[in-house]
Amino acid sequence: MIKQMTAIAATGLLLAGCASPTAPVQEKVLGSSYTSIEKDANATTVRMYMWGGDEGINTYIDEYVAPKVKKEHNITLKRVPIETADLIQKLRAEKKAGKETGVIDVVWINGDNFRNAKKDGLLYGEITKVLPNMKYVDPQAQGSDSGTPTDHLEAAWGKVQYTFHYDKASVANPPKDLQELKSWVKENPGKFTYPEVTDFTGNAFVRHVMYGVESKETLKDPKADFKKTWAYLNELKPYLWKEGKTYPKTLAQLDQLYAKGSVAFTMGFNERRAEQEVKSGTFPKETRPLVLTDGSIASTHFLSIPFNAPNPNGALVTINTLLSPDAQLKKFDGTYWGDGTSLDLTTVSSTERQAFEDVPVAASTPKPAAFDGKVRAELDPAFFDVIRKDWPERVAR
Amino acid sequence: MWRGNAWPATLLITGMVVYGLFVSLSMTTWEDYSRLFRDPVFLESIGISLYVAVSSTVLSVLIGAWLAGFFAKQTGWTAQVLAVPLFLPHLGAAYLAILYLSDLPVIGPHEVNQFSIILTYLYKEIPFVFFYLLPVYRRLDHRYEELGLMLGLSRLKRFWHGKGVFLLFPVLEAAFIVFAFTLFAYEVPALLGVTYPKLIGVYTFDLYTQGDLSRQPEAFAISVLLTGILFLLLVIFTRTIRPLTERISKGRVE
Repeated sequence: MIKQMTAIAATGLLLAGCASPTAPVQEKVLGSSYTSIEKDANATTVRMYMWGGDEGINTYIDEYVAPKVKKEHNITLKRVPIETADLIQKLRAEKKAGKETGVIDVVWINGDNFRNAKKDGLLYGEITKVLPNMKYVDPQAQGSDSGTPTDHLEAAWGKVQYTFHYDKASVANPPKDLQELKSWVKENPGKFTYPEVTDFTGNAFVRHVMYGVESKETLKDPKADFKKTWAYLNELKPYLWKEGKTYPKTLAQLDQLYAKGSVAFTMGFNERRAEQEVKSGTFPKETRPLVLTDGSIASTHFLSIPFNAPNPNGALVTINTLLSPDAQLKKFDGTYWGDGTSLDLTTVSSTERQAFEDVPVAASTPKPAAFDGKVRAELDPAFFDVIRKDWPERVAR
Repeated sequence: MWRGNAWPATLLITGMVVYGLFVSLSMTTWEDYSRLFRDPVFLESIGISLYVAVSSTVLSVLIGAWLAGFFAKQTGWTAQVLAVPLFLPHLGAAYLAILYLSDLPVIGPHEVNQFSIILTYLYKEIPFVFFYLLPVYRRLDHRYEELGLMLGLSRLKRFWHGKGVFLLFPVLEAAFIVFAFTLFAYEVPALLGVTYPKLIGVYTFDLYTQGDLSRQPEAFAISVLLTGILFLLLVIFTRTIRPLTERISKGRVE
């Protein structure tokens, strides 16, 4: 109630303060050449709204990207931290209120947030058609966002693989597949858990179980009864951390448990995410990667522009810069982030490709060969919903 | 005590509540309400939320009122120590609970009996009740009880006529505020709550934000229902209990 009232009051205030200049007309922007977009973007401010939960990602934007766009295009880039789901709610409210000029220029988006944004018409238009650097982007990654066709509405920014990480000091023989994982959990009660399924990573853990235990036919039908999945999770439950009576609410909480040594495993999209945590001393030194033979779901994340972006020209130039091989290389490098590139490395120059290959890899990162034959496509977003709806009743209860 | 004009604030707050209610109602149909009452997850959630809200309210009112009675007779600054938790937001109190309670085996967060949530509320609400009732206690006229003693009334009747009638309404007011707040709060249960069943504030927020947003109407339906329940309680308070205590305190009954 309180939240809702504040939201309404805030919307009211936003409506009252609606005197900002109108955004350039959409057809005109997307219909013009990139050179003229670049010219119009000169000396403007771009507000990038994105999930702010990772220090490495934040410093990448603040210390590398912002100076780069300032130098190359005289653009002032401002990063605004926000939960992506809240951002979609904000755009929905603005759309409903007929607010033609918003405050967000660039959004970081994927999965069901993209599906919702696309369904409700919250995105600017076919932006990838005008970006020159799209020629480097891997068409496979670009084609669909967790089963929803991207239809040029967003540009692939990074590509990651779901990877487990474990502490070698407490796990001598890491399990190779889900069945071995189950045996390990039973032999080591309280040392394993996964985030609850409202969390992006926790939901994906359940989808991995689906890939491991359900038949190919079942995996095509979101309406199927995933009996084997629920049975597997229920078998694990009594041996989980806190006997499965409760689960970490977010991946950040699971990471804390792992850092404290309460559990021996953590997990997440991005095979390189442990590098920084180990280097900073947060994760145990002996952190090692684990890719189960049942497969690892590949996930692509994207950049897009909201329907009412005040500065679409600046937004387009910023996104194009983020897709450039040098920005992607810096992002791939473990210094800041260590995020997989969305580029098809056969399209970049041989020196650039060599630079990607020369990036050192820590002991916590799997070798590329670890994923051979194990990469699984993301399931349809309808599966996300089924898991969110059924898991509380059939597993957590 | 402040005696300024309360109308502008009243108007603003009423406007916000009424508009919020109007928006929520326009988002829901009968089907959403009946779907809610067939949803076992919702029913368990409302049950556990009532348990947390009622126990937090009863305990903080009892302890807060007792402390107010005790400190009403004291002079000096000791009572001001109780003001410290008032400056800490609920979110901060919840983090304190994570820091200091999480490793205690009995009352760690994530416990099924919701002890850490209730303790966090007690830490915040006891001082609230205390400072709400302290002036009332200080204004009590002890001669009523002496009069009762002279007239030979029983201990219970002396308490009721000397203190009870003056305290009843302020105590119920404080209880109502604490209850309304703890029933639908978000931050504390979001941080300290268990995965299942979720407290109603967290469950509603999940319905509102998760997935393909098809369950948003149910989130609105919950907020309409809870506002309705609280409004009903408020009407009962002001319509029946306040006139009653006024009549009793003026000696028109019995």
